[in-house]
Amino acid sequence: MPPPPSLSRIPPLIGSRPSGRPAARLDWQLLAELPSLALRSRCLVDGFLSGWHRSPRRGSSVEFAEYRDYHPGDDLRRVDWRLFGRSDRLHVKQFEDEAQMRVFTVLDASASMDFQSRPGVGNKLDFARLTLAGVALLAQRQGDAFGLGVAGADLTDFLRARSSLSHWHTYLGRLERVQAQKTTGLVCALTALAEIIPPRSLVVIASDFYEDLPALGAALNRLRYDGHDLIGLQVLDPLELDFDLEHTGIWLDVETGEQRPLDAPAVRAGYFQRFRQFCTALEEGFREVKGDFVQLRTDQPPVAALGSFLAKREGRL
Amino acid sequence: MSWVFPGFLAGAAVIGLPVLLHLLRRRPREVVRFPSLRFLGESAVRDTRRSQLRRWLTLLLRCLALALLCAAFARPYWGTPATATHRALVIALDNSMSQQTTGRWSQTQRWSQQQLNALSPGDQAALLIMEPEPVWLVPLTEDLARVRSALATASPGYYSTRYARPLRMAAETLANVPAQTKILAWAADEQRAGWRGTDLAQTLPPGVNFRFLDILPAPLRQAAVVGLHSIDTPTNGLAVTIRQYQSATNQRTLTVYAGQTAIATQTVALAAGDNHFTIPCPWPKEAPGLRVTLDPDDLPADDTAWIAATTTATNVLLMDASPETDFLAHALRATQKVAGTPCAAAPLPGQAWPAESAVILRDEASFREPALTRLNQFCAAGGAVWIFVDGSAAQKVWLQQHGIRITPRPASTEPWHLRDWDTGHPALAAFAQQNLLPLLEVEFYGGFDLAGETLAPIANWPDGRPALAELDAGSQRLLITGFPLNREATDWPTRPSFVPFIHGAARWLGAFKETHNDWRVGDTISLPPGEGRWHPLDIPVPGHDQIVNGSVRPEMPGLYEFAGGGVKKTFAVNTPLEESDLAPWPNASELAALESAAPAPNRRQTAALLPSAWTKAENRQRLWWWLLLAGGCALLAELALANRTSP
Repeated sequence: MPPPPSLSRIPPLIGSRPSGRPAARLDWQLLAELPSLALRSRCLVDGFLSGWHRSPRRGSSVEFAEYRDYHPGDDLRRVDWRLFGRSDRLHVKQFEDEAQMRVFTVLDASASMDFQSRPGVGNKLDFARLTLAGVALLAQRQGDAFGLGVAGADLTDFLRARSSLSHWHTYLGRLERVQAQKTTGLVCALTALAEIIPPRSLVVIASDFYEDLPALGAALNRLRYDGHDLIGLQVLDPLELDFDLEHTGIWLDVETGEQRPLDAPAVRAGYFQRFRQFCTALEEGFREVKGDFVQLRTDQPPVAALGSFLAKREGRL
Repeated sequence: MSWVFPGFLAGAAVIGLPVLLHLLRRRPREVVRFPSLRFLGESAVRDTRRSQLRRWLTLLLRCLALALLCAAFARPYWGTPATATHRALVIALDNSMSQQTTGRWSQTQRWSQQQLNALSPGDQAALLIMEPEPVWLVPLTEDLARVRSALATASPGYYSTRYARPLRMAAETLANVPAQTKILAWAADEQRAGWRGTDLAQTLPPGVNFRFLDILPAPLRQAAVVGLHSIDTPTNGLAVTIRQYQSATNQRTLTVYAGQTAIATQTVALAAGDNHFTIPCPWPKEAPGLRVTLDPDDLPADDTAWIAATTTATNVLLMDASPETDFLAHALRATQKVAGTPCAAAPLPGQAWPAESAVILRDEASFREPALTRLNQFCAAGGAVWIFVDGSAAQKVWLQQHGIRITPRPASTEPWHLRDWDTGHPALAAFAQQNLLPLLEVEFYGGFDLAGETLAPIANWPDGRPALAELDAGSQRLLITGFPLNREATDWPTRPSFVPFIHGAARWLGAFKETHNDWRVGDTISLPPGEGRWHPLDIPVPGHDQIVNGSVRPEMPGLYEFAGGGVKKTFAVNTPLEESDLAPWPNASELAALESAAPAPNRRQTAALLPSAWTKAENRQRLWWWLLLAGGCALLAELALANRTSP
């Protein structure tokens, strides 16, 4: 297993924002607080290189799998001669194979992710960046390959899964350069991603998932069909969760640009009802594809929130 | 709609407060960036509109509640604020004895009815009778039939006339009536005696229209029996004084009755002024009194007089020697001229003091031997004693033996005035129906606090300690005065109230041997202590017995008998002397001058007098209550709505 990269050598990158908003300097040092957790898949993984994840293939590990009849051309060293002595038939011993896991992190770069309700609370996109970087770092620590997909209007950027140290730098650079887009197309991006990533990977999606839920469900099912293990990280601003606003005025949907005259106290109850209903349905959608789902608040430390989630997940596996 | 307290309507200005708060709390309409409005759909817009509507409704309810509360406090009522079109009439009815003069009462009633007939429905009228005290027979009312009925049933009595108080009472009432036309109908015969003490220069309140009955001339034939005394001669005759009020000589017949039996008749020729006659007639045995009757003239009420079968005597009070000027002796001497019981002073005898007399003690020598022995014997026999406390040692010891403690009062730079006068005490009978001011004006510079379980205070020092008290010792009468009667202690002897007080106290002390037989209607007669029956023996109209205690004030002349406490006494009560003089005093121009020349109150000033008018309408309608209820409901609704609206 390759050693984890030295964080002190990671250059701080400042990305520009399409909205003209000065980019917040991402503090990658936060990743240093990430605990030593295992990032594992619920499913069998299928990798080109050997690793420490269970593979559906037969390989050369020490774990016995099964016997099969000898066929001409089989390596005679794998014949179980003791069994031959007892049964007078040739059988070959087969063992479990262990493969390297591929982790694909998907970052939703829609306009709704470019939101920060007040100073002191992280931007949703930055929070997602840090969280996904944490996932990638865990994968890199345990020698797994990690890649990146950026969901804008479609799959706007894709980085193949690698496990090398240089890939880690590339990954961070690509992650840093992601800019919020005006439109959203997470469903299209996931569908496109399903076409290009190898099966039996771990797909970690960081988004607010403000999508059409049936379409999103279909995209998740498509990924699940390919044997991917799915993790949904719903990144939300405290304002979206608590709705502690007293504003009366014109409300602007940062994603669609729609404007509505609203009175916060008057609409609070209805908002909570619809928002909770959406979140429940979203969680249900992930559960149906046997994936994991968690809500992350941007007023919490991203690394701690990720660590807590992964620890609980590890316990469940 | 009118308002009782329109000033409260200004309180509606506080409505501006919630409006101001609403405007201040109004949030600026700003652009709010939000990740997605997918959870704030059309229903949110509807909610917003509903919330705004609710806010305005809350503000409206808040303002409405305040307005209703202000309106409730302003006490509204339906109706015009001033009874501008109404008239108020007060009929002051003179019911004194002089109104029994032939034709006067019917004329007075007729004139009063005419005044009432001039009123219209909605006008107000009141009936005030003047004697014995001015009393509202019917208070101001719109029920004119009630006033007419009371006027028809009223009748003249035997009291003397006093115009000052009823005039003031009627005028004050009218001044406070919110009517545009105020009429004081003065139904009186304007007797000279009635106007005594009235300041004709003081006009009635502005706006009061003064109407008076045509002033009638004195009748042509009027005489009164003004004096009646028994003569202690062998003929046992009666000395009769008849006063004739017209100059022409008249031939009249005088008859003396014992009960219903005429025992003597005499024809007399009367000239103007007092005529003295002696009628020889034997006093029948067992007759409690006699009635002397003159043949009737224009005022028959005063043609009859009664005399009780008791001897006429002057009360004698025994007094010790005064170390200084004897103000008391002078005052008692002055009572010789006072109608009623005359009193005379005599020095203390050198032997035993007669138990039926009253003793006044001021000197310390009276409490030392040999006077002390006589004093104790006198008290043991039930004698009446009046002690002026001078603080001497012997006096102090004697008082202590009788349960009375005296303490010198600390000196003061300011003079004291006595307070808490017991106006019901018979010794103050002279002041009971009059003003107490003369008593309250008396100054004291020194004195003694009286204390004792059996003391009944008659007047107190300014700090509430007794200054003048009666010792409640059964049938014995003991009057203690907590100050000596000299100029160092008080200026009372120089005050006008001194002689009436001394006379009243002396009469009360000597009541046990009352021999007076010429009481007048309106006098307060001191009776022997204890409850008794006051029985009319011979009066002009049938009467009933009365249970009396200590004193009585007869309303009708006649012969009365008091029985109680083992005592049976006869009293003759005659008509008041001044009522027989029927000559009117002021002329019409003087009476007309009573009307104020000042302009009558305008509508606004009249409206300011509304309370008596609005009270009735406002109390009947009670709109304020409903407004208060509505205001409360608005507040509750506002509270409920505000709770739903508030974030």
